[in-house]
Amino acid sequence: MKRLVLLLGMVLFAACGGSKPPAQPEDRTFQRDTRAGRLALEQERPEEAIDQYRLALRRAEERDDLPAIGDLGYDLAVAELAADKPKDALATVRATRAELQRRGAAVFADFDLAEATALYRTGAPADADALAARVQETAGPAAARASLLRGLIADERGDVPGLRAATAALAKPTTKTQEADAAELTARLRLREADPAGARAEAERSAELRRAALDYRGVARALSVAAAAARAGGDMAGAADLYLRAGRSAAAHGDAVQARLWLDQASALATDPQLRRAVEDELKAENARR
Amino acid sequence: MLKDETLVRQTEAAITDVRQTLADVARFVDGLERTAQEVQALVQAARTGEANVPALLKRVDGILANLQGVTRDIARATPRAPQIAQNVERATANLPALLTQAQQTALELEALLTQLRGHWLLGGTQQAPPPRRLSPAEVPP
Repeated sequence: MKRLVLLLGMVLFAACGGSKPPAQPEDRTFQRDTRAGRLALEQERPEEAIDQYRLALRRAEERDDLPAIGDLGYDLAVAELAADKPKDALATVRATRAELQRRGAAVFADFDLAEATALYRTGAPADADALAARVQETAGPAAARASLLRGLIADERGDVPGLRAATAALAKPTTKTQEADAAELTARLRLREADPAGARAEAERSAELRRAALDYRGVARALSVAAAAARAGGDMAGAADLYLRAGRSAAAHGDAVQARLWLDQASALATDPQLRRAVEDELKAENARR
Repeated sequence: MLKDETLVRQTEAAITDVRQTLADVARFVDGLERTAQEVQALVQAARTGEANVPALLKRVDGILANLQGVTRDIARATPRAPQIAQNVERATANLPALLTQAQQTALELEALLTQLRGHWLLGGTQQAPPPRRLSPAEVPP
């Protein structure tokens, strides 16, 4: 009998040990939508991430929660950039910025970086560079990404001192992503400084680092730099192969404009029949997709 | 005579209590079984990729809410057990063990689901929720 009472006492004690209710009620719908957006992005489903971040932003507006509106406006813009919709991203950051400013809230560096990136990708490099310069002055990971952006803009303009300065800003990378950014800018700088072999090695290292970080948009871009370096070094077959790989990666990633550009380069450079056939097949497949 | 009637009434009341408690146990064991089946279906959906991310999260949240209901049922039913047991020890001999097992299963499932809800894609054990804002390293130039 005593044993039974002891057992029942243990059961009773265990029954009382349930989880405590949270001190403050949480908005689980908002949390779930935000979490789903992040998970969708991590799963390379940017379109789905856009839908979820829109819901979360709408919820933040319902809550009239200004910090959440800023954060979710930024998250939505990043998802739109990932989905290759820079115009939508620009519209999102502009609408969010207008609200933050109207209500006297500070705009954070990550947000400026997203807007600078959207500007760059919608063909406004001068505005993008000016905004990225402001981000570079801040401390933290946004500044490092701003250096990459400024380096890319400088390279496209043929601004070697600008490219050198951006590369120097990434001289002490603290993460693998920053290491990949630094390698890509170093490759571009070496190419400008007539060191194609060094440029190719750095570009291929950057591609490897991007691949390890699952940044496939970055992989395609790094391969295209390696291709340009191979061509500058006189290795036309190598350049054709690298342009084919860059174009194929971009096509698989859904970036039709870059894919076409790099596949055309591969087509112009390829002389080996097998390689030519591979390029033609990829171009046909790309045309069929569009 | 009076003593006999009192004893009969007490016995009848004890039997009613036992029946009620056994019905409670049967109900929440059913609940646990349903939840376990839902978890199995969810894990299968996650494995095959048939459901999208938000749909899976909603299902996990739904299952967790059901499970919390089952846990509450167990907690409500358990305090009555000692009182019943004092009267009809033999009839309830297996009840404490059954309740403990059911409650333990519910708590383990709840812990599993809480972990799944936050980290099922990563398979990790990190407890802190990720920051609301995405990393600037994810801003693609």
